[in-house]
This record gives sequence, C-alpha cells and structure tokens, in this order.
Amino acid sequence: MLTGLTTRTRFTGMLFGMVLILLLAPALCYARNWQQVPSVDQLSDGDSYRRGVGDFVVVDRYGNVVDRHDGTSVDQAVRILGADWDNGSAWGLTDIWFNYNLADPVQGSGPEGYGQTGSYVSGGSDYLEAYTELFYRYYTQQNWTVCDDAFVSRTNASATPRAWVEATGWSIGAPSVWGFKGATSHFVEDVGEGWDVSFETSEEF
Amino acid sequence: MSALRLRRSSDCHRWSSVPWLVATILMLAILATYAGTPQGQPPRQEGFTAIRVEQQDGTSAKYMSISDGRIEVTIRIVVREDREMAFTVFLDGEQIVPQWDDNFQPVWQTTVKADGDFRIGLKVAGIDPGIHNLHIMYAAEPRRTEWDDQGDLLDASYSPEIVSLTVASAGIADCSAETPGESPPDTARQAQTTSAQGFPATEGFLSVAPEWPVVDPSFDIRDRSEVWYLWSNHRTKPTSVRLAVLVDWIQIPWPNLGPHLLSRSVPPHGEICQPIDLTQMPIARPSHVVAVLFVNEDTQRHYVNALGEIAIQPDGVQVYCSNRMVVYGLRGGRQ
Repeated sequence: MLTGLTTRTRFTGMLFGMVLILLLAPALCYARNWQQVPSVDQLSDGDSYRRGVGDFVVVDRYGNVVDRHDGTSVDQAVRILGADWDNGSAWGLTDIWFNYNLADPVQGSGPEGYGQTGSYVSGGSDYLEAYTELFYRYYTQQNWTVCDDAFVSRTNASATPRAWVEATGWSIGAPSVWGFKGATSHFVEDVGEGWDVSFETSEEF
Repeated sequence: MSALRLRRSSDCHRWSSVPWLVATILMLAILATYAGTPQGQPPRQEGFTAIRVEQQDGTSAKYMSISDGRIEVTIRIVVREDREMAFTVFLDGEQIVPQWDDNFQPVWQTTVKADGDFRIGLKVAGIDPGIHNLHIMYAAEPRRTEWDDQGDLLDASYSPEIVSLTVASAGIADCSAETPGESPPDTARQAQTTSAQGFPATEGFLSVAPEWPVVDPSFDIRDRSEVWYLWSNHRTKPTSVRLAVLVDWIQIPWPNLGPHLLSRSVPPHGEICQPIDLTQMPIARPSHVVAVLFVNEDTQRHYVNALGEIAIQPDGVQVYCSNRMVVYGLRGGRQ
C-alpha cells in the first residue's frame, strides 16, 4: 500500500508518527496512574479531580469550591466522634491533583493540593488546625522531599480552615517519572466538651 | 545514475528508521520508568485518635483549679484499632515523672484497645502555686506493616500529638482575673494563615538537610551524624519559643549545648534552623528522635471567660511535635 508513496512522504509520515508517540506517551503513562481516569478536557486550570467513588470537587483558582458531587464513599475524609461520645464531629481531607495547563505546559502545569479541617460542634470555643505537606520524589528516590507546606489555625466551630499548597512549574511528562504525595494532619480541640481529635489523611499518585 | 539513485534511496530508507528507533527507545524508557514508580499502592489507612482528659467528677480537665498542688485525672482515648501507644507529660516545658495508674514512669507505654472506653489514670503532685501549662504527649508505635518495604522507612505522618491543659494552682486568688484579654468565643478568628511555598514548615520538622528539606523518617547513624530542626515563624511579631529534643520519648539535654530547653526569640518571618548532633545522643537501636517546640510558653492556653465557661486563648501557648526519626544504632538493622 505504501509502495505508491515517495520516500519523502514515507519519511514525513514516520516523523509525524514519532512525534505523535512522543507527545502521547507521557499522557498515557500518567493516565494509567489514575484509578479513575478523567479526560484531559474534563479538567481545566484550577479544577480539581478528587479520587474516590463518584466524588468530584471543582475548585476555582482562588480556592473556592464551585461545584461538588458527593459519592457514597468518602475515602479520603474522616468522620469520627459519633454516637454519644460528644455532640459533634470532626473531619478532614487531602486533595491533590495534577494541574493541566495546556497553554503553559512547562511552567503552568504541576501538582497542587490542599488540606482542610472541619468541625461540627455545638457550644464551646473550638480550635482547629490544618497542616498540609506536599511531597514529591523521583522514582529512584526513596525519600519524600517536601515540595511545599502550609499551616492554618482558627477558632470557632463553624470555621473550616483550608491549607493550600501550590507547586506548579514542573515540566510536562513529570507524572511518568515522579511520584507525588499530599499529606495533611488535622487537629481539633473541642474546648467545650474537652475532646481533642487528631488524624491524618493522605493521597498520592 | 540508476545505481546512484538506488544508493540514495537505500540511504534515505536506512536513515528513516532512526527516528523510529529513537521513538521506540524513548517509549521503552518511559514505560520502564512508569513501571518503577511507586504507583498502585493502596492509600494508607487514615488513623485518628480522640482523647479527653477528665477530672474526677467527669468534667473536662482543660482548665483545672487546684489547691493542694496535685491533680488526678483520667485520660480517655478512642482509637480506630488497637494500638501500642506511648504517653509522657510536660509541665511548663519540662518532662516530669507522673504516676500512671500505679506506676511512676516518665514514659507510659500500653496497648490502647479500640473496643470500649479505654482509660488511663494520671496523677501529678508537687505543682507550685501559679498558672502552669501541662502537656500530655502521645504517640502510636508503628507496626511492621506501616513501614515502606521499598524504602524501609516509617511513614512520615506518624508524628506524636499533644494535649494542652492549663492548671491554676493554689495562690491564685482569682484565676479568671489572670486571663489575658478575652475574645468572643463564637467569633471566627484567624490565628495564622500561611501559604508557605518555599519556606520551611511552620509546624516544624526534622530534616536531614537544611537546604533540602527531606522528610526521611529514618536513616542509619553510620551514614549521618546530624539532623536539623526547621521551623518558620509566620507571625507578625517576635515570638519566643523553647525547643526540646527527645530520644525514645525521654527529654535529654541538648547535645553540645547543655540545657533541656533551648530558648529562642524568633523575629517575624524568621526561622529556626537548629542542628542536632546525633553522635552526642544516647542512641540505642533503633531509637525514636523527635523535637518539641513550645511557642509562647509563658502564656496560658485556656481560661475561664465571663460566662464561667472554659475558653481558649489562640495566642496562648502552642506546642508542636516534629515528625519522628527512627535512628539506627551503630550496629544497624531493625529489630
């Protein structure tokens, strides 16, 4: 079938195929890292895809949750202190994702994430802390290197502090050679009831 | 001419395979890289601990007013699954030897059961008159399954936690009058908000290198003799801190420095970058090493507000424990 083509045409076709493979390979490798693979066009700059059963959180670039579809499983969140232990609950989550910015794949794409601590307690003055760390490591590396971190503390039961980390500027294809991990630790001091709650959540890809 | 064209065609055909060869090699390299990444590991099971310190009448011990210089409280703990845990107590930043149930020990190690209401009795005597900060530190001992088989490392998130209590001992006529300025308890108050990109961790952690913060919770002491404690002050005013170092949960004098507590005044946005000489520490194999930072230790955390309720002073003493490092002894290897 190719016998009718000139050598130059075949060469150009091969070159085009090679470039196509090189462009797609990292994306394919990256996609395999996801438990549920979102299409690239499903994510835009600042959006968040949260792994889990049906959980999808959309966050704008300023950190505001603009849409949330909760599933039946909250695999990265913790809900504790139920029953008659006290009159409230505490929860936290880690959410990291790879931010695609196709307009600026070199400087504008990279891992981002946040940790959030929440508390629902009636009465008393409550103290909440959220501490977020984002790590990365080369595949040959055994240590997690601190990429960024943030710390937030607040009082008031209705507050849900959110600690942000942002680490863009990684080159495209990085997910195929690097691992990323986000981890948060949470602390809620329920002064009114006297309960202190501490827990961690983590997420990695 | 025909031979020349044929040779050119042959050369071109031969050279045209080079891009494919390069693409194939790169593809294989990328796939091999992907295969070597730590992907596919299940997320670590999140753990949690809920802890409450009660007085004898069952009320919260966040703020205790005593007259005989002694406290007797009960620690109630809720955990998701059975855990080996270690407990220790600091009074104004100094580790003390309290009475755990019927035992006088600086560190109390026990198995906390997940089922039921687990309780530990704690007694502290000889508390001088005045306002004191009492801190109970507790840590879950790691299990073998919580080590990374590839790196032989403990998950970095297994940091000890600390419960803060305020004790008003005899000699204080009106404890509530001693409290700092009150803030309405139902008003949202942002004590700190940081986006610490490029800065060391605010909460403070141990790192193997100050310029390259690596949360590597274990290493062989034969390979390294020094670790660093990093902390960044994101407050807008100078902050006084005291720093303690513990080996296997025992507070020790600072190597080469002497005191049990290092006092520092950190300017706004200033940093602590404190080296810790491991060669001068009583390292068994393996030993847990942590650093504990007391922020504004001279202030109290809890007070009684005008309504008679226990409230919290966000600018009061805050205590942060670093990640733990598991340091191997000279003979190396984990038991």
